[in-house]
Amino acid sequence: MSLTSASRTNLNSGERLLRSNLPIVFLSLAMVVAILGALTVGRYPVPFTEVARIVFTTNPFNAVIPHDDKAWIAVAMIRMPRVLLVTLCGIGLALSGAAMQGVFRNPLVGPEIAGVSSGASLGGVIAIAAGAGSLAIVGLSFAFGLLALIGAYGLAALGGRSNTLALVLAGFVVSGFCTSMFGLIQTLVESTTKLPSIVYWLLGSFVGATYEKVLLVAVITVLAGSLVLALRWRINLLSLGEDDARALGTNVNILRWVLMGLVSLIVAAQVAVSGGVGWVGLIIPHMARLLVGPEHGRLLPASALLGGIYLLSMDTIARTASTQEIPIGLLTSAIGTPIFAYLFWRLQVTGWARD
Amino acid sequence: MNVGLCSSRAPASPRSLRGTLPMLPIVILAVIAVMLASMPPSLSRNQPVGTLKDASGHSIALAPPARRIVMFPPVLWDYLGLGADAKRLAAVSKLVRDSVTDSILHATYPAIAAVSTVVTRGAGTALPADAEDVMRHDPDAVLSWDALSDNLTNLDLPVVKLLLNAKTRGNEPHTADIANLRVMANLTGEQRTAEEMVGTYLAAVKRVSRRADEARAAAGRPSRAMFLSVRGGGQLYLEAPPFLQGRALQMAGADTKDFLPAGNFSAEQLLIWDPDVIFLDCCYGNHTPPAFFYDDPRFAGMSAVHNRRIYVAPAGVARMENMLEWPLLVSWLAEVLYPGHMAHTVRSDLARLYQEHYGFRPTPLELDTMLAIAENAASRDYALVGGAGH
Repeated sequence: MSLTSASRTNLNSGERLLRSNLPIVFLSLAMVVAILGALTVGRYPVPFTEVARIVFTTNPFNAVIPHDDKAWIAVAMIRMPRVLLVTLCGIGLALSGAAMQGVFRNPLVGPEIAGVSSGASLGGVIAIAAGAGSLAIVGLSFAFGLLALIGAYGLAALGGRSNTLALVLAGFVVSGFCTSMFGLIQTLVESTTKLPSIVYWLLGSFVGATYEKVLLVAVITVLAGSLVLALRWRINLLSLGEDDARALGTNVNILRWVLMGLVSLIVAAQVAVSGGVGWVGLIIPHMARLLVGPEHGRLLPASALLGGIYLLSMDTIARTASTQEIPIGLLTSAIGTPIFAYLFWRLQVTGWARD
Repeated sequence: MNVGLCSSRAPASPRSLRGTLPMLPIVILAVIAVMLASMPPSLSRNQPVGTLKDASGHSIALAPPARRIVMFPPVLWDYLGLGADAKRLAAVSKLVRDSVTDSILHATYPAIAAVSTVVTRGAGTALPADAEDVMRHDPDAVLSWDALSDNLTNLDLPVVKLLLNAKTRGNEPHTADIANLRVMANLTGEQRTAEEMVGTYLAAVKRVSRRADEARAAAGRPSRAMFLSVRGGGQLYLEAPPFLQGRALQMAGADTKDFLPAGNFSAEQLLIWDPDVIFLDCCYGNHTPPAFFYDDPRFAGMSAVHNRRIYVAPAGVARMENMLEWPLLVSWLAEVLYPGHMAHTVRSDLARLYQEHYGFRPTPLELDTMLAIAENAASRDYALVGGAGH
């Protein structure tokens, strides 16, 4: 092979690399734009040039900000943690939803399937009812989310079955129980401040985002999300069907339980920091499937990026669109449901596959 | 579900560059987030030019009097009662603003309608939301309920925490309100007025309690009475101690020991309890006139219905819950419970209260509205109580 043809081959490999990941590249750029846009928008007026200066030319790590530098505070202490938190939660929820739809081979599945979301909500409600501070709300919510997962696993195992149906049913039971419990608490708490606090927390909001919350979600997203991404090839095998996956050497049960556990960690962390935010894990994988196809090697990262962009956009609207803070869970539901209706109709027409 | 394994675009190997490239943006973002969250920026300490202690005992860096106050909780009536300047309010929650603009005294405080509103979680709540919006108003004091201000204190905003008076303690139902009033007085430099208000309140509570005891003794036996509201779907809600309405009823000399605990209860339970007198909350839940019970055949056998002793409580300007109005609520309750055994002064007392503390002399028609004359027209002896001096 001559030098010229060797160079041509390398260029072609590079081009091929870029082309095959073009949607991911675009989504990555879109995420960067969304993040910068969200940092620019807010109620405290900070000029775009000032935002750019703060983001690109100042070192934020362990920086000590003068207490009267309102622009810095607005960008670095209020917007930045919120933007990071929202983006990471969107990434986590969408990634989890795509993984669960692959595991269960069901387009109507979301990441809340094991009842973790309801369990985490119950923990948060208990903490608010007890008058606890925000860190305790996060801690208790996360703990109850994990307890709900253990409860669902235990309930499924009690029946002597380890298949997905048993786990889904157990998740329903756990979810129903937790929902009734936090409904009961709402009828008992003081109605002037605690009841509205509970109601608005359950509707979902990223108000009060702090770097501590970012750390919790970021660590879990890095650890659990990386493991989910690492298993994306095996989800491909699962989506062939259980028998085919077993024939190809996959331990289906263990893989399923591991993925559900990882997804539950991600969901528990999200609910702990923001309350209930639904529909992201359900609709974003479908949108990503339209962009990159059903192969999970591309689908999971694409879902994650799209989920981050989507939730960040919703949160930016929630905190700026009106004179009141709109609960983000309402926005994701109000906007997500018509999108899902359209996607579902389209999937009925074209099927799951996109060759 | 076709996962593309058999398609012309076979997936990349997990270990190849093509396989790992899609993960890179997410990993980079997550790592940056972890780094930033592990080494976050922080605020330099605000050197106090003066200090103020809030109701929860925390010190705030502030040199009173405050000139730009952001107010979340509904304490505006106490603030105005201190004689503090409405122009010092940089922003208030919609709940606070509406408490004045929707009241009968709105014309006395026209400046309140022009005060900016601050973003809250939910239109009618005192829950702080966007810290940027608070910062935008450049406050030197932010009034908030104690348990709700984490997202503001984390940013070193000058949050002055107030205590929520959801429950009463012993014979001092407004312990938290008194503490809050003194904090606001320190904030605005109106300490003398605050002490006068506290003195007025304590004297009024003592006086009305004595009058109620005398009326009850003269009546021979205490009336069995309850305070309730009707909520969505016709749900009955008992407002028993430790809540203010229930506490007021106890102080007014009613027998309330059977009517516990506060909360939802059924129509059947109401029939079992069968109180002598029922008071309906003017403002919580659905506005419900006595006719709701008089016209409902389910309640026809009840003593309170048979004897026409169901009354809507007066609304006053602040639901008769604040320190200045609450003793008058107790007085009103006692006068309705024991109409032949007390002098009927609540009408003139109410007029004098607003004149002295808010500079507002209500007209007879306005007093009729405050005392719910029309709603209670069909109830026994109400002309004697509410219309006295008309």
